[in-house]
Amino acid sequence: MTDSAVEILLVEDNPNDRELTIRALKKHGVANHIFTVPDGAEALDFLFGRGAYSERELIHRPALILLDLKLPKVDGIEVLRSIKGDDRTKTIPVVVLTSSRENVDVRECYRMGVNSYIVKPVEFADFSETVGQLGMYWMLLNNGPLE
Amino acid sequence: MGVFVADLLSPLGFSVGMFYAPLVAGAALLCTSRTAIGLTAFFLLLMGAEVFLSSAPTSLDVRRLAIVNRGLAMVMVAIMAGLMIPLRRIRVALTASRERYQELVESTAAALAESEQRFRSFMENTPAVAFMKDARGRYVYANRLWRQTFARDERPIEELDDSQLFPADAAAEFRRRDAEVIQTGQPWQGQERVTFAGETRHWWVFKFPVTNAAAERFLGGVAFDITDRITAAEEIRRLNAELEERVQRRTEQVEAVNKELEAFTYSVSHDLRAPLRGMSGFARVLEEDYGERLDEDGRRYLEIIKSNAAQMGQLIDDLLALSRLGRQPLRATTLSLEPLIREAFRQATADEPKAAIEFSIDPLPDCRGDANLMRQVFINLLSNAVKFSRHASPPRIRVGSKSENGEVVFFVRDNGAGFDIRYANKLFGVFQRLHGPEEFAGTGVGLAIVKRIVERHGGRVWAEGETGKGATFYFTLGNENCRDG
Repeated sequence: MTDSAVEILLVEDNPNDRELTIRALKKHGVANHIFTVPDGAEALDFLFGRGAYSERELIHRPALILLDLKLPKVDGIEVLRSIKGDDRTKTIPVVVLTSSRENVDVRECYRMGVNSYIVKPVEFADFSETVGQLGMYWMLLNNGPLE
Repeated sequence: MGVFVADLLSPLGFSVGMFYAPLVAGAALLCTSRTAIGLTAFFLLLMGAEVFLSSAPTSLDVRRLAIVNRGLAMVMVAIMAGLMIPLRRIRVALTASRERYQELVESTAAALAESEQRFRSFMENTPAVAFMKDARGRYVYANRLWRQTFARDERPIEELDDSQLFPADAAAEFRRRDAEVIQTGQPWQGQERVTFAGETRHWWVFKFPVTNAAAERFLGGVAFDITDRITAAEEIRRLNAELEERVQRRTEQVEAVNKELEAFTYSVSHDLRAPLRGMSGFARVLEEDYGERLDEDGRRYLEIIKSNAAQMGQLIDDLLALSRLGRQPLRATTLSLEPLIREAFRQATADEPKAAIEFSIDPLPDCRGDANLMRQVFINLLSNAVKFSRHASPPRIRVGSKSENGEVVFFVRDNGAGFDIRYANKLFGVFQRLHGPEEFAGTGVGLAIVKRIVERHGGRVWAEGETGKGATFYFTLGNENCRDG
């Protein structure tokens, strides 16, 4: 897959959740171009063209970022802060997709300008439905700022 | 008089009269007026009689002279008496007034001495240090307690000033303050630290101007030893600080424990759900992609995996809710219970055929409480009621209140499966269930949540029931939240 085609960047360390999320998105036909990274550091490298992604052309930005909060190396909150704090990336919609229902997290994410905050349900049917819905909302219905 | 003295040698008259005169004068001065007048009258009569009785001189001239002499003597005696009697009266009056004056002086002196004695005794026995200094700072008076406290040598206090008693800087400070009081005439009170004989004590001191009759100004002072009080206050301050520190330390520990608990909860919230989602998710994937190839048992096993995963998810959610309850602050407002209960009933019956349930709410008194938490109480109680009365026909659920010992008691009553009263104490424990999972689903956390919420409001919760005859759950919200009537 070439990075120019990336539409959704999925930042998720749990391979099971990764697979289920991709399956749910695909099932709803919202994204054929999903790129996944397993931790926050790699997510930032990807977004800002650093490290392994230094060759990447930054003009091709993902249309949506799905971000888990509890991540190895750099955690989701940090990634969110970097995205929302940088002019190049701050207009990309970010949906935090996490198991945490803790209020501190929710507050902190909204304070930093997250676009949605979704608690992953345990029940797969609900999970699939939720992921599908939000993918559809952000990819198809929401009119983001034009480049 | 000289003329009559010359006649002293004459045998007649005047010399006899002269003899009577001092007697009358003496009587007039020394005896009572009546005696003097009587004596005078007696001598006059005697002399009158002598004029007639006298026979010795025969010549007419001598006789005339004798009569004249005697007459003069009689006049003299009368004058003597007339002069001496008032003189004596004056003397007596003078004596009396001198005596009265003397008495007055004596009694005044006695009264003064008595008064002086009384005030001195008062000052001497005053349980405070009292003193008086002159404008130069010399002591003019110091009471017994002062002397006991500060005059340890035998010098008379009139020879003392502060510079001989106290450290130089303290003495200078006292001197400055004394001068100010004497000069301005304004009294002063305050705390003074006095080091004497190597011991420092605290005094509460009153200083005030004293003026004598000659308009000389002195400094009066009264002081109380407040060292014990200061020490006690310092002790209290020290203990308070220590307590504060201990509370601080304990709070930090509690905060640390809370942080740990929060981290644990976070971990539970995040990490325990992930594998469950995997189980549930891939069971679903298996079903979707390979369901055709499984037989009925295979599909049933998949269902079991899914429903267990779902139940564990619910369990984790309930436990988190329970743990959050202890940490959230209570936001109490006045509640409109009826709409709140209707909303709770709607949520409790979201997955139920509710049309069949006969649900009623009695008129309820206004109460204060946290709306979200109270809704949760009713959701949990009503869910239970709905769940356990599912097999009754028709299921009947009633919410009401009653007054018991001036306390408002709410109840939720159903006509469902009930419970064995012997196990009533187990109802409100976490994970305590009185029915098997095949009979009635549930995690056993709902009533524990009810109990915690009610207790956080200052109330109690209990239940009555009988197997097969329904159950009633009662709770109170504490008298300050709920007043009868």
